[in-house]
Amino acid sequence: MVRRVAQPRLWVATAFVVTAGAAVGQQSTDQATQLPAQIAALSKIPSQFSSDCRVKSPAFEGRAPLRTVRRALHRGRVLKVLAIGSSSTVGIGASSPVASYPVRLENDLEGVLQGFDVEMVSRGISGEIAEAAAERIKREVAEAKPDLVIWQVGTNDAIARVEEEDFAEVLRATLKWLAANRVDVVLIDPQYSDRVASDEHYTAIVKTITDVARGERVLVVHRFDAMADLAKQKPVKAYLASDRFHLNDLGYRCMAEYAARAIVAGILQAEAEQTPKN
Amino acid sequence: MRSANPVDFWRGVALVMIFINHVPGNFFASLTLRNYAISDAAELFVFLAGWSLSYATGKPEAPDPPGRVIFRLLSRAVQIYRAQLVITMLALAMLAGAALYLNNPLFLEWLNAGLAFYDPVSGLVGLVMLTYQLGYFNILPLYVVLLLPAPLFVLLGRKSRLAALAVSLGIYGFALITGATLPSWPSAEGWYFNPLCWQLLLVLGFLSAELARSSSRFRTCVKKLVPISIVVVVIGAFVTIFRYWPDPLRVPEPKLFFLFDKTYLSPVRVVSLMAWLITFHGTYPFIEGLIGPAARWLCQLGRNSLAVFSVGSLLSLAGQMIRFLTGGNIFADIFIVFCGLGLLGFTAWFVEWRSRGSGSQPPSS
Repeated sequence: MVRRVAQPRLWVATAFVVTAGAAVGQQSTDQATQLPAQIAALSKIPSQFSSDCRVKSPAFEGRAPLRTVRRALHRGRVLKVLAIGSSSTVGIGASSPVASYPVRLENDLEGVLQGFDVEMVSRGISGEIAEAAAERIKREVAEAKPDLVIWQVGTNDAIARVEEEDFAEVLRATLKWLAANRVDVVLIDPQYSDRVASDEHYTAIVKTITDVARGERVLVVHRFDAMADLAKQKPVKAYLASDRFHLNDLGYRCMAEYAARAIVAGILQAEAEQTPKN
Repeated sequence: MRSANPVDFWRGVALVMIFINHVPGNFFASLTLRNYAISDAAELFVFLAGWSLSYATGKPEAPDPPGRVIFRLLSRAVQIYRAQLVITMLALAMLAGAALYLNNPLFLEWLNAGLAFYDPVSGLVGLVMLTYQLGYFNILPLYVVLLLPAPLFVLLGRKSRLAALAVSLGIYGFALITGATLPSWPSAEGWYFNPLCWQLLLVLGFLSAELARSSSRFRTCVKKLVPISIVVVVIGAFVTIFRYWPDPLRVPEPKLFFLFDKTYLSPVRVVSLMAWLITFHGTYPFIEGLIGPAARWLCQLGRNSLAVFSVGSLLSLAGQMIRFLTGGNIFADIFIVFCGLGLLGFTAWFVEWRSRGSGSQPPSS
């Protein structure tokens, strides 16, 4: 079950603990036997994306085991996910692409992590470049104590024309900090629009994210490339349905799908590491 | 029109730094206070706003009656709220215009504007309630919210400065310990400047001005603190330049007391600002002697702070767009900063010219 975090409802939790106390012993035994099977079942999830989001280039990459996520699942703990970088609307209908991105990610995670308890916190970064956001991200992590951070990064830096090296340095330092504190990460690179496809600096920032992610062994969702691919594949009308910027909507939907699959891939890699080899 | 004075000068300096900082990535942003101090121009701006409260509510020997204080500050809050709405609408129109003209949807999500465009039903309500703010357009909402309870602090401060400080510190401490902040809606990301914390600077500014105007002992005391403040300024500069900032996962609870957090105005930022203020409080005559016309120009900016800040916010956004379109280079940065400063100067001059022309009082800051 995926649930979004609002405020801790202590009285509910306390009541639950009291009434369910007797059943705990039995439950944990059941969980211990069920969980590995549930995790193994993740490998059976079809590798294809939904028809709208199918792309030729890899939608995500990285041989990065999500060890902390795996540990949380194995222990039957609630998996805490902190989504950083896009504004979210909590509790409002999914009528809009921006507002609904975290909701979509939740739904997709719910789809792939059936049977697991996931807590999702989303935090926007209000137009800040990564340099300014880095400190805030650390505070958010210290506060939410997530197992996994999903960080959409780079769009603001690309638009603000931050030097690639400066951007890479901040990104690298933040990823190292997260790794040192055993927080798993999935990066999502910047948005695509046909106007920036040939923009050297913009594409250089996209490439910088991939390079840094490779260096730091972190999963990265190639939103930019995937969206470029989709834009080529789809007839113009298909994504310019209600307004001329409808591609964004598709972008958010597919991004959530790619991120969910990247997470599953990371969990399976962590699982493979732990499986004794014959 | 007020004559040139240190408060307007430093407010002018803060306005220039805020304008430059709000064009991220530009070369000149590496020269502003935040690169050399734990606190930055926003803290200075809010402290000076508090300082002005003392002057806006009468003289120490003849304080304005409570009714006048309340209406004066509420009318100021309304004036700032109006400015915030106008610049937000203009900023959204600039983003939408850029998206249409350049056929680039990325502009619609710049500065956290996505909600306003993609979810306008709730986004618009949030903008008007100030619970949703565009990135870099967060200072005026803070100022509006701080001015609403400001009459209480002013009136309480007249009875007992210690009581006003204690109430302010109490709210500040409560927010630091509990993480409390004002609600944000429809986005859940919280206020960029938490008013429950930043009110402390407004109150400190007000009480400092009251004391500086009425107590020679306070002025002597501040002078005596200059040497130790210089040491704090130097240590702060060292810590900032070499980024020896505390790790949020390594500091004890309540973490916000020990971090250098801007949203919650961690105590070290207040200490840093105080040290800078005490160190430089008597330097204005020297600076004016050194850079005469430039100092008077900065005073003029500071005297017309609301108009200058509002225009500056829009010019920063225009500057960001110019940087994007030109690919961001030093020539673009020089153009943006010098044209921007020229237009800020023109704004201040125009406001004063208009005030003179209409025969009304010059705007207070």
